[in-house]
Amino acid sequence: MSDAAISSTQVFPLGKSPGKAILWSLPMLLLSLFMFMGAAGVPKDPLRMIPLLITFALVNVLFFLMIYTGKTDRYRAVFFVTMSVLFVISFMAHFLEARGSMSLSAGEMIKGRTPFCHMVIPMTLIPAALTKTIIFPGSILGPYSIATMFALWIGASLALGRGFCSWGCFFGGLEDGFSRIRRKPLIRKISDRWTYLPYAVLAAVVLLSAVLLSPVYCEWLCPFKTVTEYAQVTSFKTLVQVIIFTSLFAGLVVVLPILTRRRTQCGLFCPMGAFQGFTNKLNPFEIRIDRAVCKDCGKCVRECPTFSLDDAAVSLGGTKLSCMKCGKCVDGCPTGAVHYHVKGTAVPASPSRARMLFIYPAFLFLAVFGGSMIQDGLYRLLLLLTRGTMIQ
Amino acid sequence: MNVMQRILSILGYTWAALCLIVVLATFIGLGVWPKALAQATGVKVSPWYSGGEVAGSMDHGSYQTLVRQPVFDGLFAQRAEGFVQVDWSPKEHQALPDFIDEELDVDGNGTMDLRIRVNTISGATQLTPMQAWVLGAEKLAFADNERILRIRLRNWEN
Repeated sequence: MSDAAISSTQVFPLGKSPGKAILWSLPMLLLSLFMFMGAAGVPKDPLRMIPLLITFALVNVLFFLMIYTGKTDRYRAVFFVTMSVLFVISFMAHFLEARGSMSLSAGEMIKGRTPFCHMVIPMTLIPAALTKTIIFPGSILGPYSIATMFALWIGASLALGRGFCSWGCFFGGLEDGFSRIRRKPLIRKISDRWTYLPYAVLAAVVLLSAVLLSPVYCEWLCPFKTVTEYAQVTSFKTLVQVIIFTSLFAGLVVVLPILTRRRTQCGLFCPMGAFQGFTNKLNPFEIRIDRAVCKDCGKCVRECPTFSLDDAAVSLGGTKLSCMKCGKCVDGCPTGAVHYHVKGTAVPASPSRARMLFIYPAFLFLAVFGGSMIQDGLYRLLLLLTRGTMIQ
Repeated sequence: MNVMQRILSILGYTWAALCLIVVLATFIGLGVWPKALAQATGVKVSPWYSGGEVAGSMDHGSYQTLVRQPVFDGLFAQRAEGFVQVDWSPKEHQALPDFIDEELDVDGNGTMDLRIRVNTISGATQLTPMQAWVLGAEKLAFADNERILRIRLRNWEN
C-alpha cells in the first residue's frame, strides 16, 4: 500500500464528509457565538462590528477545515500567526494611545501600569512563596493584571499543558510565522545539546530573580520587548537592555526561524516554555507514535518546530517533555503513526477521538484568547484605513 | 481489554472531556478568578516596584507629600541598602508648585533625616542628608501630575 493510501485510510476518518464535518463543527460555532457575542451582543459601530464578524467567521471556517481535512497544525497556525501579528498592532496602538510612546517611564512602572505577561510567571513563584509579593511593576487586579494572567495561565496549563505555547502564547505566533516563510530549511542540523539551553536559562533566571527580587528575564533577555514595551532609554544600562532585546528578537524570532524552519526562541531559549513543559504532566493529552505503523522515516523529527522529537523519543513511541502539541508531526506523518493520545487509553486507541477531545478545548482557548486580540488589531487597522490613525 | 484498562480509559476520557469545561470556566469566570486568586494568596506587588506602604502624609494645602515605609526587603532577610519613596501629588483641580523644599523624617523617630529640593517642572532635585545613612536620590519620576522620588538609604538596623 502506498503512503498516500495508508494515510487516507488510517488518519482521522471524521472528515471527508462535509455533512459530518459541519455537525462536528457546530458545537464550536455555538460556543464561539456565546463567547464572542454572549454578554455584549453585536456592537453597533461598524468599525467594531466588522472585526467581530471577521474573527467569528475566521474561527469557524478554520475549525471546520480542521475537522474536514483532518489537518491540525495547518489551520491552527493561520489563526495563531494572525493573533500574534494583530496582538502586536493592538498592543502598540494601546500604548501609543495611553502614553504616546512604546517606552515605559519610571513613573508608569512605579504606578503599576506595566502589562503583565505569562513569561514572568516562573520568576515570580519563589519570591511569591517566600515574601508574598510579586516582583513585577504591574497591578494585582485590573486589565492586563497579574492575577488575570495567572488565572488564564492556570486554566491553559490544566487544559492544554505546554499546548499553551502553540495554542495561546501571543508571542509564539510571530516565530511560527517566520518559520514558515521558506519551504526548505537552510540550516538542517542543530545539535541536541542546544535543547537543554531553555532549562539552563530557566534555572538561571528563576534563581537570579529570587535573589535580586527582580524579573531578570524581562529586564535583560526578553526578545519580545522589541515589539511590546520597554524601559525608556535614559541611561547606558537601558541602552544596553534595548540592544539585547532587539538582537535576540532579530536572531531568535526572525532570522533563525527563517533559516531553520523551527521555532528557535521557543525551543532553544524560552524559559517560560521550559517551565510550561512540566505542565504537560498535569494534562491528559500527549502525542504518541504507534510503533507498529511507524516506518522510522524521520519526517516528524525533521518537522518538529520545537525539537521535541528525536530518534530516541520516536523509538520509545512518544515525545520529549517540551512538546507543544501543535500537531505538525501529526499532519506530516505519511503513515498516520503519529497521533494525539489521551493518557490512560491504549495506543492507538481511537486517535480521531483523542484529537477531537484535544482540539476542542485547544482551539476554543485560541479562539477566545486570540479572538479579542484579532478583533482589536483589525479595529486598529480599520481606524488606520478610514481615519488615517490607529489611535482613538 | 481488562477491567483495569477499561477503568483507566474511562478516567482518561473523563479527564480529557473536563479540559473543555476548564477552558470555558477560565473565560466565563475571568471576572471572578483573579479576585479569588489574589484574595486566596494574599500577594501584593513587591515594594521594590510599588514603593511600599504609606507611612505618613503631610498636607500642604494644594498638594500633599506621602512618605512611604523604607524598603529593605530581601528574600530571607533585610538588605543592607534600600530606598524610601516620597510622592508629591496635587489635590483635585490643583497643580504642584514649581519648587518644593521639604525636610522629611523617613524613619519615623521624630527627627528630620533629610532635606529635599525639587523642581517639579525640570525634574532637578537636590538632596541634603542629615543622617549618615541617607545615600542619595534617584531621578525624579513623572507620573501624570504626580512627582515621585526614591532616596537611597543604608539600612540603619544593620
